[in-house]
Amino acid sequence: MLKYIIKRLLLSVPLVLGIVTATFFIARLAPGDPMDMYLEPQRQRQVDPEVIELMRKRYGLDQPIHVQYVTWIKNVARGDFGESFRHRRPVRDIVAEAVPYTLQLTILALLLDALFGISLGIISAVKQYTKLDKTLTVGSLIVYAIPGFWLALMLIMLFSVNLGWFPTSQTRSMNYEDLTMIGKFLDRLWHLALPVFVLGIAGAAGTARYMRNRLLEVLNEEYIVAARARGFRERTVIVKHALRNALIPIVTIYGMSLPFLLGGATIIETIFAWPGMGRLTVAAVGGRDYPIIMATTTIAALLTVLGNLLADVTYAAVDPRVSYDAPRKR
Amino acid sequence: MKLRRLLGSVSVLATAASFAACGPADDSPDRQSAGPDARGPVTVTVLVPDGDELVMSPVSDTPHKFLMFQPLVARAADGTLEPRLARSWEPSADHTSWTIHLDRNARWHDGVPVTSDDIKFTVELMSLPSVGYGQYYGVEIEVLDDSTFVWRSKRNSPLGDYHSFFPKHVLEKLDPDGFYEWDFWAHPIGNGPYRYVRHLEKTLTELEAVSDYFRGRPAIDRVILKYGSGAGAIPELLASNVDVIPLNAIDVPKVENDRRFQITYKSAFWSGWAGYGIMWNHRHRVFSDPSFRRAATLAIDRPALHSLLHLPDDLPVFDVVFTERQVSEAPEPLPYDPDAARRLLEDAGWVDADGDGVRERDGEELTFTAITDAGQGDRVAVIVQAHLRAVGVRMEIQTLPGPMVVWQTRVKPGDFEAAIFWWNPGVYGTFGPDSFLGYLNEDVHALLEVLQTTQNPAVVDSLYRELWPHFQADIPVTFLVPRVTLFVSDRRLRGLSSPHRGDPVWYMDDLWWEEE
Repeated sequence: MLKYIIKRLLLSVPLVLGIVTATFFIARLAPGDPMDMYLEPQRQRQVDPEVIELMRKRYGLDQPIHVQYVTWIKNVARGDFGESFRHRRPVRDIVAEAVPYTLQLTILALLLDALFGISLGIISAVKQYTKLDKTLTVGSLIVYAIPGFWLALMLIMLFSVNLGWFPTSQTRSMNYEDLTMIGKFLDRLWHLALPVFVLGIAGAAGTARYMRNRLLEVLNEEYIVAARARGFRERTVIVKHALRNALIPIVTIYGMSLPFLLGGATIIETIFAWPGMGRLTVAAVGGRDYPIIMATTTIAALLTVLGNLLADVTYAAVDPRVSYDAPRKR
Repeated sequence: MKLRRLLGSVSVLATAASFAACGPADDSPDRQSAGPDARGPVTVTVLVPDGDELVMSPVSDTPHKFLMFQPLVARAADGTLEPRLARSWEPSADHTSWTIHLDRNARWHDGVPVTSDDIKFTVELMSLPSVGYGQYYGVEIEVLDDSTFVWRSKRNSPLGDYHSFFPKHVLEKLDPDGFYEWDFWAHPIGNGPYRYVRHLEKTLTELEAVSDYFRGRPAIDRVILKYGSGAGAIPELLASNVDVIPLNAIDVPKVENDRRFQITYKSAFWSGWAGYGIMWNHRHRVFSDPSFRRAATLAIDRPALHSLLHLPDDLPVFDVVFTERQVSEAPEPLPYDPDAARRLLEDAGWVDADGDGVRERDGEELTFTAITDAGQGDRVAVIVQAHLRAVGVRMEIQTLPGPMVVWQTRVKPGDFEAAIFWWNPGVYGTFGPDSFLGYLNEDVHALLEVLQTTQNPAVVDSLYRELWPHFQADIPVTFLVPRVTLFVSDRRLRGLSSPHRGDPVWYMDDLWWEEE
């Protein structure tokens, strides 16, 4: 297994390098110049062209693109993602500030996804073809089909604007500093409620469908028939025999959620003014803030590769039939 | 049953959290709004674009800067300049230097007087390569005494309402190489009507009125700058979490009939051209004919266009460029007159012989492609397309991702027939000898050359007036939609007026709150 992991990690190096290289050149070759922020038409002011040239030099934009690329790779190898054009601060610090906000959101969303998705999938499968199953099937298909941004706006209008139950956006209340520790904790939960629900419920709908189908497949397996024939209670058959096997692919799906955990949810973060990685990336793309674009892309690429590896390894860990070790010679 | 229990638990948890926390923000005591004569503090909450990690960015035009720091002058409701830090100013005869007299009562928030040395220090600091600001290009300051200095510059006037100055006595000993990491930007000491109170990371910055502010204590006691933008802005306003938000024209219908709110705008339709227009490529054999450009302009109902785009009704329509002093003086634009447009086209030989609704001449259809951006541009273009079609001109639309892409990939290299987008390379760049439109008019070029050499307002205005007959004759560009920034605010916030004082942040110290 260790050999397999090392092999996969080594193979992922050129993959990640390929992704970040493509991103680097696409971003640089796309129309738009980061120095245009000095030339916004509404400013109507004379900006010193020498300063613009100085800024180009400072950020290495005066160099040929291949030189910029090599410099960037060297710096990243040292853990230096450079300085943001817009914020004029180290990218590392800016990303470090955004990550906790994204993690709060995505971890809770995944938990909600798992809680609702798996539970409803099991209920649906066990009660196959009943009214409950049909209701859950139609409901999950509808939720799955609803665009997240629309659902978010509708929930804001209903629960924030009309009912006033939840905040419309942001991560905390204006009087956050005056709250007790428990108050602060509850305040954060209060602000997380809507974005987590929107993110989690869409995932849960998909998970529920997947869980239902997988469990139904397993319930038709011969060993389940055998278990029933042996007189085990139905509950034991489902929980001990069927569910454990049905959950195997689900576990791998969550393994592959790693990029989502840190990559954030762009649209939802934007709608709820949530200062996470997704929103940071959108702002960076709009402002041609290359260092941030490259940092977030590199992180996403790394996490995607690691997520896939994690999924494979988890699969092997939970399913004894799967082995990445070479078969023993007889 | 289990499902119901699950859903029930979630809703109970959420409701409990909401009660246990603090309830909606507008329940907080400091959100109580009252008139200036009523008891209790008046707090205005403004939604501002995503906050930086610092309280204010020293090089960006953020609301924080305008509330905490004053420029030398500001624009009055009628567009004229009025004193701020500067009590008075006298330009030299050639308008390349100004003698500025500071208001002797102006103070930093720590009580130290604002002096000429602060102005000189700021200009020199911001001009350092490590700062990379660039907007004091070629500015030299000569200090005459504590409250008098001379500002010399051939290109940058001190009379811009966007300048801000920093306290020398606080910053002079700090290392300029660490400019962007200075703690000062997180705890600024300004000279404006509001002082820094607190900053809640990624959430808000709170400012309070300076009680001994040299222009008088502002009527709005407290300003909260709440961070957020985009799709969440309107819900924030509707939920009464904020009193002021910047508004996209497309969102105007969502609030325009709500009696709680007022819409104001700040315009930038002077000093050249800032807005949407049809940029005709004059190298094109059809568009090189001024009568075609005139016909196309006559065919477009520009006031109706503004209305369809939800822009204010009082936005001007014009065919010339003008300065901020000439907003009401600019000549009458061509009217909407499709019949006149048809006559002009027929006179030029364009007739619809085959009855397909599109005119032809010598077997060639009157068809062209306009490139535009996928923001407001494509909305403008669709309306223009319909108006032109009504007079027998077929305009195809090609949409590109944004104005910058339109400019850099197509217009700047001259690879276009017509373009509907906003970009302002300045009057000289648009209509001068190197006009990206390919506009050829020796008289205009000569006037623009002179315009490049002077800042004297009287001379500048006079040169613009001389340009007007040429523009009226040539119609080098069909101006469509002036560029404006819209704001929607609580109607009880008084003292706002368009087009000069439509931005509540810039003039907060002159506003007041009045219960209806």
